[in-house]
Order: sequence, then structure tokens, then C-alpha cells
Amino acid sequence: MNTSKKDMPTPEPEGQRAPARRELLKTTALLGGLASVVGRVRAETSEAEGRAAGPAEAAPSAADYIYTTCLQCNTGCEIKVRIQDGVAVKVEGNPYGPRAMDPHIPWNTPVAAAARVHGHICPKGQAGTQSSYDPYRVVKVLKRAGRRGENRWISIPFDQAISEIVEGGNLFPGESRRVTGLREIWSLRDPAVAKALSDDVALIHSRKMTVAEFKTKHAANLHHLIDPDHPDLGPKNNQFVFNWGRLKAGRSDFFSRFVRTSFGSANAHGHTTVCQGSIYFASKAMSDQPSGGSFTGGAKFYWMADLSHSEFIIYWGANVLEANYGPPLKAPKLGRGLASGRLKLAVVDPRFSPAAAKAWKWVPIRPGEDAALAMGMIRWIIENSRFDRRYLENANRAAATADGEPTWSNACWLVKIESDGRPGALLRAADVGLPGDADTFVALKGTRPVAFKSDDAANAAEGDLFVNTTLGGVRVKSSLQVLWEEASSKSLADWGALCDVSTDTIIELAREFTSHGKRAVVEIHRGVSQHTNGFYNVLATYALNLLVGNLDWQGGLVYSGGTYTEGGGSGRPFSLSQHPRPLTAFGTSVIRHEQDYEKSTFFSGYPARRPWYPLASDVYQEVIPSCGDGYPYPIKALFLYMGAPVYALPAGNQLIPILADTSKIPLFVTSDIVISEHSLYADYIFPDLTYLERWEYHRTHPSIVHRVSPVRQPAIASPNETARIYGEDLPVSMEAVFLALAEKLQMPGFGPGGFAPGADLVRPEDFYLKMAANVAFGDSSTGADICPDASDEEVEAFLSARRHLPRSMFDADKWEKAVGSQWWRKVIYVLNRGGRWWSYAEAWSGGQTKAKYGKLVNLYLEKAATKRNSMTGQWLNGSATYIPIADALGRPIQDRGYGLRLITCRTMLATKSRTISNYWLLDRMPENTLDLHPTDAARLGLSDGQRARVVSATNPAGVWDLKNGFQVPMVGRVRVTEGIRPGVVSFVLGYGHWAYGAADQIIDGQLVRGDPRRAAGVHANAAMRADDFLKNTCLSDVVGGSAVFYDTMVNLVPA
Amino acid sequence: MIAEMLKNCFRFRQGRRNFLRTGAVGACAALGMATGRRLTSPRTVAAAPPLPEAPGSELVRMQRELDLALARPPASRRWLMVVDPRKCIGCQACVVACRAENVTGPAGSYRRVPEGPAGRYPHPTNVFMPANCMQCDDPPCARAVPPGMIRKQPDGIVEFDYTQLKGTHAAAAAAACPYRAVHVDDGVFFTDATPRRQAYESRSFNEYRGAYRRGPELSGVARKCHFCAHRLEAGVLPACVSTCIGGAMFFGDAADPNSMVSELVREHRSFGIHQELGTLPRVRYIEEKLLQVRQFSCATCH
Repeated sequence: MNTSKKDMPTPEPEGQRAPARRELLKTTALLGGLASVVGRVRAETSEAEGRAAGPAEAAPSAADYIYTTCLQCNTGCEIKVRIQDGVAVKVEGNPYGPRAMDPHIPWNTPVAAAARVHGHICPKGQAGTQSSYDPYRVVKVLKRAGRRGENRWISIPFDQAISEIVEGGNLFPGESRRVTGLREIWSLRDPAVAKALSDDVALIHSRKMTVAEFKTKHAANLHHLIDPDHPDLGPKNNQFVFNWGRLKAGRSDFFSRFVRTSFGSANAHGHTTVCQGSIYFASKAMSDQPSGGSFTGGAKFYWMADLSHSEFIIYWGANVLEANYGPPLKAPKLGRGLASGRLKLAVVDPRFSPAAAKAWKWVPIRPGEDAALAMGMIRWIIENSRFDRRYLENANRAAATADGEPTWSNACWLVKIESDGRPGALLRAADVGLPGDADTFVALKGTRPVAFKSDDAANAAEGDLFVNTTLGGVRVKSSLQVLWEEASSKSLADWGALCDVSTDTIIELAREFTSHGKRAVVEIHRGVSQHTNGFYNVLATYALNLLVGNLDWQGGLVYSGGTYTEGGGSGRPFSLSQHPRPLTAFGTSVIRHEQDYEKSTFFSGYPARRPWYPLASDVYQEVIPSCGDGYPYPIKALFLYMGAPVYALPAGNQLIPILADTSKIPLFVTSDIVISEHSLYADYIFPDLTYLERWEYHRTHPSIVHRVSPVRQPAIASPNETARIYGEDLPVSMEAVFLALAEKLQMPGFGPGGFAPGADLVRPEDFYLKMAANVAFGDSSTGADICPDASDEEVEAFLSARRHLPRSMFDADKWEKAVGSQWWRKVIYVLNRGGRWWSYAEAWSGGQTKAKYGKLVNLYLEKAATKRNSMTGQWLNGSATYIPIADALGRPIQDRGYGLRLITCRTMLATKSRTISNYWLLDRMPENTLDLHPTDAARLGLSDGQRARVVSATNPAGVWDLKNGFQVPMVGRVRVTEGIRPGVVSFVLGYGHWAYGAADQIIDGQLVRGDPRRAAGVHANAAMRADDFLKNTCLSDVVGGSAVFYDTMVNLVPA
Repeated sequence: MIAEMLKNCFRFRQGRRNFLRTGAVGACAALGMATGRRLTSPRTVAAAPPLPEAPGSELVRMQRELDLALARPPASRRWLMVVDPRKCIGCQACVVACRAENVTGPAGSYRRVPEGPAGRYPHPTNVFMPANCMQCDDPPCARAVPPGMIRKQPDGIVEFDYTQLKGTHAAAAAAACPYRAVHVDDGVFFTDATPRRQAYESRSFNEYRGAYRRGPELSGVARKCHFCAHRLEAGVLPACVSTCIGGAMFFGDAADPNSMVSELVREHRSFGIHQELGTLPRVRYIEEKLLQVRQFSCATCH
């Protein structure tokens, strides 16, 4: 390294210092502000006089910190950032928040006192400043100067980029094609017309209107549609696709406002299926409630253990001490429980994780066979009557309440059995001649059928658990009977053979799990869900929890405590959805989510061209490949925000030829902080703000039992160039892009009167500060919880802490104006603390959690049982069941000659694609390895430290083909370890980059040298199998949507 | 007026290191009031706002105890660090926190967390053992260099004199340490091999009552953990202690029988690493195992 030429640098302020500092010194209160004044004067003096007289340390002052929320992973821990000379120099845990302190301090603790209490935070959080202070930050708008993927760029003015994207035209030298701009894509702009078309498309789907009738009725507006012969595809507006990776509330509301409400596109998609996909959608189906004859309203969320009180937890496919949600939240509680002896762990994972090192039992399961292990346990539990009979016999709310249970299941509800023996829909009272509506179900008590409604709080209904009979001529079984038949379809030994777990271990796990009442939990994560059979793995493992009836109990399976309704409504001061002219976005999305294939005008038998996902949304692996296939329609523009699908998805290499193809993706715009692996193919890259520079409301996770609203707010000046939009100077960001597009298009919902006449949306703070005011309002819709005004001392600390921010990012007058003087000091109170949280003790009461799930949980899913698999035409199974690994057509995958199962995992020191820039983390782990059991290493002739290439049936060459003349081989160092199951090879995800600063770039004709440290290691996602039918997509769970990471067979070849 | 007062204070303090050696503590104390000075003035911390109530929080308890310790004369304090390996999960948060707090470079770190994998599939084990400078009562590093370059303070912290501990002396100190706790700063920055060195790497930070920056000033100088003495004097726990997400780190005054660290070593068996060398380390490791978890006995390695 070349250090001799570098002089001692002076600190480089990352933005202009606000000029207000001298004024501030004059007005600073003597006592509160003095400590901070002292600190700063000292620093100046020692610079002047040399080092000899060093400054003494003053106790930390609130004016030295900005309280915000980490985003180095999705946990979103509460942090505070120490600012020194305008530079973020140290991150600490924010003691006000439960992710960073256990127990956390009271919310009303004065900020001066909290300033010197530092909570805990993981290494990524500590290194987070390096994500912002990344030498490869993109700070100006870039336009590609060559072909897609060439990595040659010119910086262009922000306004020019906006203009080109809006107006389209002949935008790229050397290309004769005309790009369709957003102005033209934004075809349908009349809300009344949009609503009318949307309503009638619904009638087409319910067979109450034909396409011909639709075309006649709406002849004047057919030109707005993508295809008038398929009106259910929706308007041309849908050909603008917005896809995001890591996006949280607040920002997601701002972006949705543009994409859905103002622009009217139905194509706003997240990334859920690359994370836990099928857990979300199985849980959503489990939480659907009966309404109007069907099951609806399920929450896209799931459950986890109340770790502070549990006695036994099986962490199943959950890497809790390196990943999950997240180590700072869970490790302290695990430590307490383990050290005191209260808590015992079992870890089901092919890999010996740090959690396994603390476990009573490590179960190195065969990957993807989770349902088999669960079924074995379910069988033993039922055979030995070790389930909570009283819980399962409750059919409705009244029965549950009578037993002191907060939830109830449909275990005793009767299911109709079809003529082919398949369980179908649930039995309704009317089916057997009993009085009741479409939401009146039936159980059997002895010989007497009992009709009931699920949410009936007055009339308790109970039913027998194992029913298999004919009732009123209808073949019926209880839900639990259906599950029992699944579980007893194989012996324990046969289940064990499938998952490679001994019968003794199955019994030990099941016995321990049923020996702790409701303080035992099966907690699952990606290891369970990211398989082709993920949805059913989730149902089977969660069924274990239902068998012990542990939902909402202290120490049991709990739901998150929720958040403080940041978006408004129910008495809150600001409603962020207020919009003068909202459009109804409608039509089948490019990922065909939440739609039935059979209802679509596209239906043409099985298999569908690509999967339809009636039970899932945010199917990340479908977005770009569907655009590539033009199915169900071609698109005109793709915007990708903080998402790295090429790097992060399994078989992400399959996306590259599509992104590089201007006929498939005519306009490709990314919002990025560096030139990442996907941005290589962009037409335009807009720089974005890092998490230390921006707003967001990170919300919560399943095991956070407290109500929480952590706020992400600007802590440092952004290095990005500034743009002027609606007369306001802003650093370039994704908000700035949407504001500028809206300004150019004169789009309702943004700008002056953007919310309503007199209520402007011209700066991001106009949006985000109103959410802070809603947080200040508190829990109670009557306003009983409104927080106090910040004191003068707190206001002083607030202003002083932000003195280094430029006016384009912090203008106290404009901030006050965004919420009004009535709310300003309350907003300061919230922002000074970094958010709002329930007090520690508030989360539990009466042996249960305070924020309960509190309703029906479905053991049996009628909704699933009445949907068909769009690829096979088969009915989906409504119960947990064992389904072997299969491709999209349900065919077993036979990759003969490939002998190792490839899996991947997180390390504590990396997150997906974005932490390779953190040199403090790289220093701890400069590269990842291919981890292998000694017997496999011996068999393959590979020794520890030897380099090997990863190859698979769909990537026999073992390379990333970047379609720009370069290939990146998937070669890594072998590490032989006893901590992995034989037959499995594992690599840590986050290494082996070929962009993100790893490669040389040419910007404005200048060569910017890449840093080879970022290229170290191997990224084996391109070896993960592409589906043989879909070809350009990874293996998927076509029911729950999960992108599959763990079901590929590979070989390691000496390199 | 305030600025003038403080400026005078600074000129006076230029000779402060000499002050301390001659024990002219009172002179410093006289200036202590409005300036939040360290060591000699208990009023820095007393003037700070009271700590919040957080029943069950070890961190807040340890900070309260720190306040009490700082209110006592420095010579009466005996800093002790206690590590509970049962709770360490090997996450390296402490290592990275230390880097950020004390601005160390690629050449070395004040703290390490080695792991100890053992056993055979399907019953492997692993244990994580965080380590930093042990602030030995009889430090081998001090014996390896001329007197005065390395000084053991009354409160237990072993201090390096950056003006002298350079070159061969630095190398000798590093080589002498059986805990590999000492490294020699080489003036290299993490972002050197990138388009632009970043400001946080060359920021000013406090060590041994002096303000430093990495670069030529510290190049060739021996550096090591000092229990975040600069944080202690401000009433804040060491970075590794506050950031530990496993709750494995404890710190306090062993001279206070009611302190958490005193309680821990009373209630649990504990050991010092390489006790047999007679270094008398000020870091103790709890020598117990988790119930029903397969682990190696600490005695195996220690």
C-alpha cells in the first residue's frame, strides 16, 4: 500500500457545515451546553497547540449524538451516532430501544442522562459508518456511456436525467431505438375512469362480465390498456415497474405514493421471497379470518418465541446468533436464559452455528426435509397424547376465553372430504341443514354437530379432535384428523430416514418440546422456508406450536407488539395517505401475485407459462424473468431501488442477459450508493442516501413484544450532489427522483398542495416529520398518550446536534413548518430519542403478552385447499404435509453426478450484498470459504485451504457470465470442518463481489481503480439451480413463493 | 469570557504530565470545576445528569458503580474486567467497537476473539474467548523496555508513553507480551488502496490524556488496550463492555466489594489466562460451563 505520499489530512467535512454554530454558542444554556462547548473548544485548542495538552473527556452530551436506526441488516437496531467535526465517528446502541438494550431505559429519561448510557450493537452496526464513508460512493447522476454492462459512465446533470426519463426519445448514442418515457407510460390519469375499469375487470374475473361487453362499455378508454383483449392486464401505466430490495416504512409509503397512487401502476414489488417468502405467506394464510364466505385479511407477518421467558426453544433453520432478527435483540436474552439454566436450546441446522454451540442438542438435518422431522414429532406427540387437548378443542373465541386462552385454532373444525378422498373446503352449517351463514362452521361433539361462528364471544363451541365420519351425507374429518393422517402415513423410522434424524432424537425433541407447557417454542426461519416445499415445511413446523397451544403466552410463540401507527388514522394528527387525486392501480402484475390463474383471461390450461401466485406477493425472483419473457406482458421501464437481485437471488446470473437486453427492459434505472452488480446494467444510476443520511420508519419483527417505532433520521451530511426541485434544494436521493419526476409530469400528490390545498409535499421532511408527529401522538386514539413537549434544554440539544448538517438536509424552520408549531416540540421529543417504545415491563401482563395475536389461527387452510397449482393443475393441499423437493412442474430433480448439497448462510460479519465496503468487518474475515466435512473432502481429494470451483447441472462451467466480455469464476478456498453435515457444502453469503467497488470503473473518461479486497472469496449463487421449465429463474416454491437457496446439488472441482 | 478562561486553563495544563508525576494533584483540582477534567476531579461525573432507572440492566448498574468509583481517589480504584465465555457468541462486536473507538489500523487491534472449535461430528463444540491487554500487575512489556516508557497506574491501567515507545522499543514491547495484546502502528489506513482516504480514519481521538491522529505521529508506536481510560474518566464503560450483545463483558472496581465484578469473582470460579507466568492479569474469565451443553473444560487449555 502506498502511504508515503499522503500527508496528514485535515478532517474532511462530508458536507458544508451549517453556519449557525457561532450563533448557537451564544445561545447555548450555560450548564447543559457547556460540556459540549468545552469538548469542542478543547479540540480546536489542541489542534492549535499540538498534542501535548490533551483534552480531558467530558461526559457525553446529547448534543454530540444523533439517535437513529441502523440498517446494516434488517433488524433495524436503535443506535446513536457520535458526531465529531461533522464526521460520524462512533456508533453506540441507543438505550431507549429494546433491540439495543435489555431492559431498555424509560422513554421519558431526559436525553442528557441517556447520552452517557451506551447500549449494545453488533459488529456490523459498529462498522456502519463505513457504508456511508465508502470511497466508491456514487455522488452524481450517472448515465451509461457504452453498452449495458460495460461499466463506462458519464455524469450528467440531475435535471437532464429526469428530462430524458420523462420524455424518452433517442437517448443512447449508437442506438437507434426510441425509448418510451414515463410521460407516455403514464397513460391513464383519470381516477374515475381507472376505478370504473378496475371494477369491471373484477366482474370479468367473477364471470359477471365478458371481455366483449367490457370492450363495448369502455370503448373510449381501451387505448389506455396494455391489451384491450386482456383488460385484466390493466393500463399501460403498469408497464412502469418499481422493484425494491431493502425498503422500510415511511420511505415505502413515499415511494408507493408515486408508483401506485399518483402514477397508477400495479407493479410495485418488494423482495420478500428471497428472504423468508414462504414463512410470510404460510403465516398470512394461517392468519386469514373467515369473512363473507371466504378466508381473508391475513397479515403478511409471522410468529417467534418470547425469548425472555421461554424454557425450551427449537431453533429450526434459524441462525439466531449470526442473522435472523437479530443478534442484538436475541443474544442478551439467550445469554441470560442459558446462564441461569432456565432456557434449553435445540438447533436444527445442517451447519454447526454459534447457536448450536450453546445448544443441548444439535440436529444436523438433511436440508429440505423439515416437514419429515416435524411429522415424526407430530406423530409421537399425538400418539402419546402430549398435546394441549383443552386448547385444541376450542372452536371459537368464547370457548377460548372461557379457558383463559387468547387464541384458538380450527383443529376441531370439520373439513369436507371430496370424492377422491382429498380434504377440501371447511364444512358450513348449511351443508348439513343447520342454521347459519357462510361463515358458520361445524364441529362434532360426541354425536352432536355444533354450529358456530369463529369470532363469537358469547356462545362457546368445542369439538372432538379426531373426527372421521359422515355427517348428513357429507364425508368429513376434523382438521386435526387430517394432520394426524399425514403424520401417521409413515413410521417414525421412515420419517427419520427421510430427514436423517434418528428415531431416538425425534422422540427426545418431541418429549422435551412437550415438557414445558406453553413455554416451549418451535421457531423457524429461512432454513425451513427457502425450499421448493417451503410453504408446507412452515405449516408442519408451526403445527407443533399449535399442538401445545403456546400462542400469545409469556415464553411461548408471540406476535410483534406492533408500532405507533406512523401512517396516521384513528385520531392521529396527520394522514399520510391524503391525496388530492388518487388513481386506482389495477390489473395483473408482472409477477401475477394474489391472482388466480383460472380467473384470468390468460388462462389456457396447465402448465401456465410461468407460475401464478394466488397466496403470495413480492415474488422477487419473478420480476425480471417475467419481464424477460414478456409474460403476462412486456414492460417499458424498470426502476430498481436498494435491491441487488443479480447478487442476492439464487441463480441471479440468469437475470444478467435480461437486464442487458434493451428490448426486454427498454429503460432501466437504479437507485444505488455504489455501482453494484445490478447497476452495471443500468441506463441511469441515481445516487441515494445511506441510512445515516435519510429518513425511514423501520418498524418491528415478530419477537419484539414491545410496541416500537424506531426512527431513521439524517445523522450526517450526504456527499451526494444537490438538486433543486419545487424550488427546494435537496441532496439527490430516491425521494428527490420521485419529487422531480412528479414536478416534471405535474403529477397530483406531490409539490405544492401535494397532500391537499395548503398542505405541500415539496421536501421529504414534509412527509416523514408528519409520521414522527403521529408517533408523538402515541397509542391511544383519544390522545391520552400524547408525549410531552421537549424542554428548552432538549430543543437546544436537538439543534446543536444537527449543526453540522447542511441546510439542504436540516432547516429547523422548514422542519417546524412541516408539522406546525403545535407538534414541533413533540416531534423533537421523539427525534431526540430516536423513536418511541413501550416501557420494558409493559409488554407482558397476566402471564401473556400485552400485544396479542388474539384470534383464530388456522391449522387447516381452506383458502389453500381451494386453489390450484398453476403449473400442475393440482389442488393445493390445505394441511401441513410432506412434499419432496421438486421443480416448478412438480417433477423430482435428478442431478446425477452432482454429489454435494449446496447451502449458504450468514456470518455475523456480513449482510447480503452491501457490507463488503466495511473494511473493519473485512479485517475480521477477509474471505469466505467452501465449508466441507472431512469425509467429503477426503472423497473429493480436497484439502483444507485448497481452491475449488463450484459447478452444478445448470452451471457446469461454474462461472458468472457478466455478458460484457467478463466471466467471474466461482472459485473459493475449501475449509474442512467437523461442524457441517456430510454431503453438504456451505458458503457464507456476502463475498466474491465483482462490482461494488471490486472492479475498475470508467467515469467521465477517468479510470477509477477497484479494490481487489472486495473481490475476495466466492459467491456461489450462480451455481444454484435454475428451474428446467422456467430456465431463466431459480427453483421456487410455487405455493409460498420462496426463492430456493438450499436444494441444488453441486460438485467441487479442484481449481 | 468563557473561551478566555478555558484558554488560560490549557496553557497551564501543558505541563500537566509533569504535574501528575510530582503528584501535584491539588493544582489540577483547583481548576477542575467548570472544565470537566479527568482523574483528579470527581465533579465531572457528579455534574452529569443522574443515570436512568433500569432494573435488571447490568450496563446501568455498572455505570452507577463507575460513578461511585470515580468519586473516590484514583489510587483507591482497582479496575477489573470480567469475561463470561458462556455468553460470548464470537460476534466480534467488541473488536469492531474498539477499532472505531480507539482508531486502530490494519496492523493490529486492541482486542481479539479467538474461537476454540473441538470435537468430532456430530458432537463438535466451540467456545469464544475475547482477549485484550490484561493490564498486568507485573507486565512483561514494561520489563522489556527502559523504565518510564511503560507505567503501571494506581488504578491498574498500564500506560504507554507514545513519545518514547517507538521503533525497537515498540517492537520489544510487542514481542514481550504473552497475550499478543501489543501491536505497532504502521501508519497504514484501510482506505489507502481506494480512491480516497476517508476522514474517520484520521480523526482525532484521545489516549493517555493526549489527542492523537493516526499517521506519521503514531507510525512505529506501540499501542494496546487501556480499558478505554478516556471513556472511564467520562463515566462511560469501555467500548467492548457496552457493545457486547451477549452480555459477556463486565467491568468495574474490584476495590468496591459491592461492585458487579467483585460479586462475579466471589460467586463464580474464575481464572486469568497464563496465570502461571505470574503476570497477575486484571482480566478474569468465569470458569463455568452452560448446563447440558457439550463444552470443553476450561482447564483443557487454561
